[in-house]
Amino acid sequence: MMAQSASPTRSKRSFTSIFRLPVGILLCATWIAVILIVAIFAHWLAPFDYTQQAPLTRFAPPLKLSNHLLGTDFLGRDLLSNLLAATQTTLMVALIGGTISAIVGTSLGFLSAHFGGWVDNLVMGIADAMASVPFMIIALGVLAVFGSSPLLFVLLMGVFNWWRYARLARGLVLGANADGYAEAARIVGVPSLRIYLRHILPNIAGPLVVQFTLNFPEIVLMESGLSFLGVGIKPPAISLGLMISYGTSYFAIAWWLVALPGLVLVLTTLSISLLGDYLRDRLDARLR
Amino acid sequence: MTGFILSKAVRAFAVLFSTALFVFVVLRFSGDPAERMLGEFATPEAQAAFRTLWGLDKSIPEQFLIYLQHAIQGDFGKSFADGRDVFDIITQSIPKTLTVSVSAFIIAILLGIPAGIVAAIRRDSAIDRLVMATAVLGHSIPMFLVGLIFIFIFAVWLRVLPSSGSSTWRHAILPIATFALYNAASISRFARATLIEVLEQPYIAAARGDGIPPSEIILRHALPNAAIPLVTMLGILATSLLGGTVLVETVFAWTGIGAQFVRAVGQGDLNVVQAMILVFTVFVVMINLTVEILYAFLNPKIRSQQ
Amino acid sequence: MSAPLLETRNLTKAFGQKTGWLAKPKILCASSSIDLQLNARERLGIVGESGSGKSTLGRLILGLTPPTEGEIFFEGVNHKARSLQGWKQFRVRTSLVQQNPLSALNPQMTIGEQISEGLLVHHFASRAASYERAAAMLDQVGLSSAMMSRYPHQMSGGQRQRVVIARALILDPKLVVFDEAVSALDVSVQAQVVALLRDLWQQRDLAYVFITHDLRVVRHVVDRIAVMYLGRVVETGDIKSVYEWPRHPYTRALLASVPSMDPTIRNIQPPINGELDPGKIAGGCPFRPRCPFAIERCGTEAPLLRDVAGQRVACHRAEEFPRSVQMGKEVA
Repeated sequence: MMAQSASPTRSKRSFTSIFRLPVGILLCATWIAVILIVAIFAHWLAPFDYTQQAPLTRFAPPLKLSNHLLGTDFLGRDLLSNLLAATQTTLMVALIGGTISAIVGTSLGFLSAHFGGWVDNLVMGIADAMASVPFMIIALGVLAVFGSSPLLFVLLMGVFNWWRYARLARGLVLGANADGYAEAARIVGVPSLRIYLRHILPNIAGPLVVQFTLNFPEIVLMESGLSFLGVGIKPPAISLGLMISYGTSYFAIAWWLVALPGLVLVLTTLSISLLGDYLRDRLDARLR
Repeated sequence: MTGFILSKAVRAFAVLFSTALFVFVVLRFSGDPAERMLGEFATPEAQAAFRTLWGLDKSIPEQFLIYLQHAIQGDFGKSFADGRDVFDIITQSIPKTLTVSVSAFIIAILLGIPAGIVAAIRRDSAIDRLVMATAVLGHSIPMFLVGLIFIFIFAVWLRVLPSSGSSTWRHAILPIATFALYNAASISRFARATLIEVLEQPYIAAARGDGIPPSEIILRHALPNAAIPLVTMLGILATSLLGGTVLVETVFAWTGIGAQFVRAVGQGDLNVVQAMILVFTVFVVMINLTVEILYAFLNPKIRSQQ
Repeated sequence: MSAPLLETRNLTKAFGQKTGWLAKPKILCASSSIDLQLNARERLGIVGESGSGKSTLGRLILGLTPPTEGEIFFEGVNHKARSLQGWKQFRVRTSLVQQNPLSALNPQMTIGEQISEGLLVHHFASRAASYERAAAMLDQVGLSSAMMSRYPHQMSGGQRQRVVIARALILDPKLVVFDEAVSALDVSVQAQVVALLRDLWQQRDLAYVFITHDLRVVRHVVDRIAVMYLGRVVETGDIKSVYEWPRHPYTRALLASVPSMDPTIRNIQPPINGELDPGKIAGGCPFRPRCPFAIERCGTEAPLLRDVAGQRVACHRAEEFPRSVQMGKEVA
């Protein structure tokens, strides 16, 4: 059914359908757009260098000082600047990690479906194993053994949930292979790689994109969790989880140090997962 | 049936063994344990003694056997941070973790499943909307943030409960509440979806057509069929609960295995990390085994196979 | 006569079916010891119920699934001996027309892209030239070249099947397998596609295997027919003589079940009893459990294909059945 909506008139239709989106979804999309702009232009938008300390203006609440709109933290750093930088880091980590796991997982799913046999068993076996152990534990173990570095951390986020793409892509490819158009291409002598990229991938892209939007908030939560525990993003870099972690110590006297980054975090994950749910319900029955 | 359970148990044991082997090999290849455990400035004699004690002068397979031998006797070595026996740390923290997570899990089920059932039966009612909203929110709020909010309300603002620590039963209330509420949200959402799917099946329509009262339809026809996916889901949730202990226990300074694990990771206390990973694996394997056996009991197709 | 275009020797495909944890896999034979020959420009029909293994046979011939046993020769070359280059050549010289034209076409590509792709990937023509040839091919299957930029969902079922045929023929193959190629179409559209098939065959150097369960259609498009039952060919011969005098009880039952226009001759043959159960037969004739003419010998000795008056039949009692006139006349 989904394929049926794919037509030359597609672009026109999706343009008019913007006006038929539910208000909630529009709000989510708006927030995501704002957050993306912030992530891209954080350096230019920030009123201060986020690491700049000011011992005299510590713990300023929001809207109290005219130059520190959202107040300052325990070292007198500008909270708004910190928030912008942290949002940028968090989104970048999630975006890169999410992309890595999408590519790795999808490729492995394709391989699994293509070769079958022991390759399939191996890939799906590892996927099952990873799915059964909480990733938080795996991540902590890996970070304990190899020490925390930004590169390792991003790679870890890239490994998180790859198996969802692998399982999904494998199932979709097997389905597409049974569908006939892939076989028809094979019969004509179209090389396998071209069949996968040119024929099958465009037909199964929908569910994979939906998976990405559903997966994204989970990476954000995982990143902030690990950073909160002090093994993820490390200073001088800053992320939303790390900001909350800092704020926890001064919770009783400066609620905004936890509340503001927490709010940004929740609004972001909420918007993306609502959008993902919406996309899934609209586009794809196979994921349900 | 016995054969089924036996085969699953054998597989569980194999998983456990390979995890132990994997963790062991990774750790051995990531650095010299003698230097890491005793510190850079330990005397050569002390290092040699350490090596003989743990068989570090032998080949890796032999070392692994020695490690296993020690582990079976409950000897996981000493904590690198405070010199305590790793085994003592584990045995002291497991009950703490179980107190919080098991009671939270039970409360979550008691809250979540009825809420899901009501939401499924009365779709688009206030309860349905509440269930869905909480569930969506639960997917978007980090668990540690929920914990912090609870601390703020009950410890900082209302001052009725202690904010952190693990000495009295009152300290357990907030971690349990956080954990339970968080998981009740996912349980209710899943229970709702599953029940709605079952209620749309033809045999339910047939039962309705036969004039069977609605309560009977839910209890006798719908729930037994929703039970299988629910048990599978609860199993997945139970393992994720294990991952959650790490965050919840840290937020509330509750000294269970989760918090101990985080502390050990932060301090590079590899003896504890290694043992903790094994403990977590044992839990995961046990949960999966339980789910599979429960599943076999619930599924008439497997049950009837003798 | 030179070597046949296609030849299969002792072709067998078995599927394992796992029934339990420790149980031995049950072997299901989708096709068993099939010997077929097909000359250039020859048209062979393969008929049988669903589950008779006829589609598996088509997939085996095209090398889409490897046989468990036996050999397939195309233009004298064994499938097993084909190099990568050899397979490429084979792909050019053979083709497949699938059952369901909607799923056989890629929903995300235009008709033109799909028809011309074969020419492009084999570098037979430039993009522009291959589009031109695709348009010409569309014209040959009776569609306007304006359809080139359409997507599959914008066409009717009959049009789609014509597109699938155009795609199959664009490389000018010597052998095409039609796998239930018209079964999904309305009867009126079926007739059009059948007529198209005959025209195309007359214009080209083309042999084909027409796989179907529809005995009314197959009659108009093939020279020779092979009837399959549970993976075995039970009767084969010239289409006319088989329809005039079917020698195997299964063929007779199949032909009798075709609705006839004349009510007096309907269902003279006893209907087939029971369901297909490939697991049950062990030794003896596979058709025995459903055969009203089974004798003791059928339970102990599996009949082999043997010559009976110019046809090849696998039945111990083949000579005993009378000519059933009604089929040859009425099934049309």
